[in-house]
Amino acid sequence: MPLRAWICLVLLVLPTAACGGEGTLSTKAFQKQAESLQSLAAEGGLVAQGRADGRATGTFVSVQTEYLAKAAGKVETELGAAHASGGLEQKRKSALRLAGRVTDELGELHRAPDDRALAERLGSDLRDAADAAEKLAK
Amino acid sequence: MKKIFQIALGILAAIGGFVDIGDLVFNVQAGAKFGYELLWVVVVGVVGIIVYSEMCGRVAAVSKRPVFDAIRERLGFGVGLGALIASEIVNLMTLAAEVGGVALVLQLLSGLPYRVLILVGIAGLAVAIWVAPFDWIERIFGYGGLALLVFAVGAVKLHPDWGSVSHGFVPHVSSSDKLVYAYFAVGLLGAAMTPYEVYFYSSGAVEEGWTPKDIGLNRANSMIGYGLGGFLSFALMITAGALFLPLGIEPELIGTVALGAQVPLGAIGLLLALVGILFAVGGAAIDTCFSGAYNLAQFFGWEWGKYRRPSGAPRFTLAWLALLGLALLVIMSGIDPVLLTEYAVIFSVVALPLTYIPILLVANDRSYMGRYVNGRLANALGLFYLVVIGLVALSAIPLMILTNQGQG
Amino acid sequence: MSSPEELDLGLGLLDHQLVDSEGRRCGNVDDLELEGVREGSPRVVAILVGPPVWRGRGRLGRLAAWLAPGQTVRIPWEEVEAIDSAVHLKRTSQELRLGRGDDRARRWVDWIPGS
Repeated sequence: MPLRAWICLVLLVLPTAACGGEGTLSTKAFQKQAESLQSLAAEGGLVAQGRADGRATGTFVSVQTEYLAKAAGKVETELGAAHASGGLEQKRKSALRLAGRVTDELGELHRAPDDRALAERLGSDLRDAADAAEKLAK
Repeated sequence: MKKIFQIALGILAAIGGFVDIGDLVFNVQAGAKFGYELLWVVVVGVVGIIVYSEMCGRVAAVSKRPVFDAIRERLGFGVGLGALIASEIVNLMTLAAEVGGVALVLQLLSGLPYRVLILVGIAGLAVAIWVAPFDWIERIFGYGGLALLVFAVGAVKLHPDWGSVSHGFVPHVSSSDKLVYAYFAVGLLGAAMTPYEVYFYSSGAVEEGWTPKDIGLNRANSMIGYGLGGFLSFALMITAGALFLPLGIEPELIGTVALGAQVPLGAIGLLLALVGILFAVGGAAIDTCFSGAYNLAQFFGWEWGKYRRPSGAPRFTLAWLALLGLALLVIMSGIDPVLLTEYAVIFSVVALPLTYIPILLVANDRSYMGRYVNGRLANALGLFYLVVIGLVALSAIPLMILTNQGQG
Repeated sequence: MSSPEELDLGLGLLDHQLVDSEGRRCGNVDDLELEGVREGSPRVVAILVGPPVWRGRGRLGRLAAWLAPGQTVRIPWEEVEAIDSAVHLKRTSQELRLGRGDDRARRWVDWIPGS
């Protein structure tokens, strides 16, 4: 029965598709990480700006930045665990530092969501980080 | 006058009820990746769900038989049971994802821990289903979902390039990343043509005692309701295209969706978005939960229906309670609701032909339908969508694997 | 009961919903008992309902029969009142011993307040 065959195919292929590439970092994999970092930093920037302008609730900011920080932490871990060669290794190290910075700043936002001045500064910083990540991804 | 009021109520309920977590995830992700280039696919999906549910509603009104009766009758016990199992698996995945979505929104609103809110959410849904009459449930969650219209306002305020937006309604394929584009097209169609919505709609038609006289009214209801629901999908995609794409934001969180209304409209936008998502996804959870119970009861011939009262349909009642319980276990395991949604939508697309074909057959059966049998337009559309559904069902899983769920 | 038109057993009877005289849904037509097949003039003698009957309905049917509790109920053809999209019976499900799964389940549901 076709459906049964599809289910078997999915059950066999999904785990292999999901297994990531640990160890050597390919250009494409690095690009994906940099793009994720850009996304997280950019979103963090939006959330922070919302707080700074008083246009987002503290609860929303606190919860959302916790999830964003967790995701950024994952990027940081994965970049840290991988190795690259040549020019890519330089980029990896830059991205790793950037990921650390983004994770820390998102964490700061999460812990002090009602500090609007802090949110303003962090927002601007996260936007810069997003730009930096975008350059690394290219 | 009363008729107009009835129609209005039905439409309102349908708008809010149309958008579920699958639509939220796929429309926003598609917009963030491809801007406005997939808007035309949403149109195809909305027309598809109108065609599909119109047939199911008509079949239910004329024969008093809902979808899964037709499935067993046309496919037989063996294949029908396969269709049932596939549907129940997808229902469960969707339900778990929706419960998770409800918990996430409650967390964004209250700051309380996620896992506690899962329990709160499940308890709330169970009590609502148990206590409230059928049409009340539909109305409350439908109206609450109307808050999602904030995304339409927000989308306009973001000043998208309306030229590009209109170009997005013309069918075309993106120049870059064709496979990922195809994956999102498949996902959008799957999110628009959710089977559980159709099971629920046809069973609801029998619950509410529709007769052939009600066909016209309900055809209008579903067309306008689903159409305006599609309008909400446009708003989500345009918001994402205008706000997230330029910044390179890849939405993976429910909160990101709400951000789409917060940026243009401030705290009010944020709150309306969260409330809208809460009711839309919560209402969808109830629909999905009931669908699962309807399918089981209808396949095995048990008594079913909220109108029978719990003791009048005991196995049906135990079925939906058990589904909520299973969904609780699945979502408590820690699986990400957004990820689960992506899988659920893709798998539901694969199972779609199994439930669509029997309905198309029954709607053409004169002994079943009498003079309400499919006319030429219904059949032209019905066959067109049979081809669409077939293509989409075959390509869904390969695309998911090849594009690593749209990551490229 | 005799029907003036022809009835396609596969499409018009098998797997259809059974409804008793009070309008209560009480199972599906899981199988049919035929007589006179070898003589060339087959007649439906009875409707068969119940999990054990599923054994004759394919591999998934056998699996389902193995998993599900319940007994076979045999409904003589004379008990059929009318056939439209469902098969309507002359007596109540109670009298025909159908829908007992719901009776068993009701004991559990009655525990919950408000049922």
